[in-house]
Amino acid sequence: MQRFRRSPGRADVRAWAASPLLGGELELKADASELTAARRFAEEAGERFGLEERERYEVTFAVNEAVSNAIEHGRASHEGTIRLRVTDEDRALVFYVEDHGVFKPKAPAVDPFPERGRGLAFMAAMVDEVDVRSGEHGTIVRLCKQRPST
Amino acid sequence: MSYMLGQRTPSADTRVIEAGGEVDMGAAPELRDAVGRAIEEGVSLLVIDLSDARFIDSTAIGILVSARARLMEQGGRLELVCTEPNLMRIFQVVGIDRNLSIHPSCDAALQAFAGAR
Repeated sequence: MQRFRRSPGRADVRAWAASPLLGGELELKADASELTAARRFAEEAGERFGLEERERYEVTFAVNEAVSNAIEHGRASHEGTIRLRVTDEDRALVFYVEDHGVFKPKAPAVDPFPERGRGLAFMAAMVDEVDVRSGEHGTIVRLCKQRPST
Repeated sequence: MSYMLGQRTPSADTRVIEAGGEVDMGAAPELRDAVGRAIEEGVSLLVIDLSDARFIDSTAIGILVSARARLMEQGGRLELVCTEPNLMRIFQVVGIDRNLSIHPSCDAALQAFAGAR
């Protein structure tokens, strides 16, 4: 596999050697009861990648937001499954959250005290990159957390 | 069930809602109901006690921010209790700490309110 051809620094060797979970994935139902498993998956991947507690919490928060959105899409489309994947790409920990619901931009809110709609901004505050790709077959959210330079 | 919700009424116009565990999308409907009832009853002070919370998501934060705005409109206040460093940092990162007053204990929140009257 190509990523092992790079010559990692000493700290990286340890992280890679202990990274059987990086490259792992989890299938989830479109139900809020699945969020605990999604958070544990993110937390464990962050740990194996070598993130400090503070970064792990940020990553877990962002993954929880993305999966929460996917659950809402899944409910709307009555097609249950959500796929949560994790990989290490270069010096970054990357999560993909895929659902099969169709993302519909909401009409402007008439609620003067809106309760929803902060998820994406919160995700962006917690990780280094957030990409959302939405098409007729579903939505993929990519969350990327760079390894802190030491 | 990964969250706990409880509430008490220490005085006629004060409601304390305790939200513990993982306050995520699964907890949101109950939290929203409890907060909504307190606002409809016209409480002057609503304390959301997150002392036992380990996690909070954007939906729950949204419920709190929205509740604060509704309460202020009817002359009430919302105070938050939180000490968990990870949660405090989430509030900071998303800028909510500027809008919500956060106290180290429920007593501190009640006293701050009593002092402000």
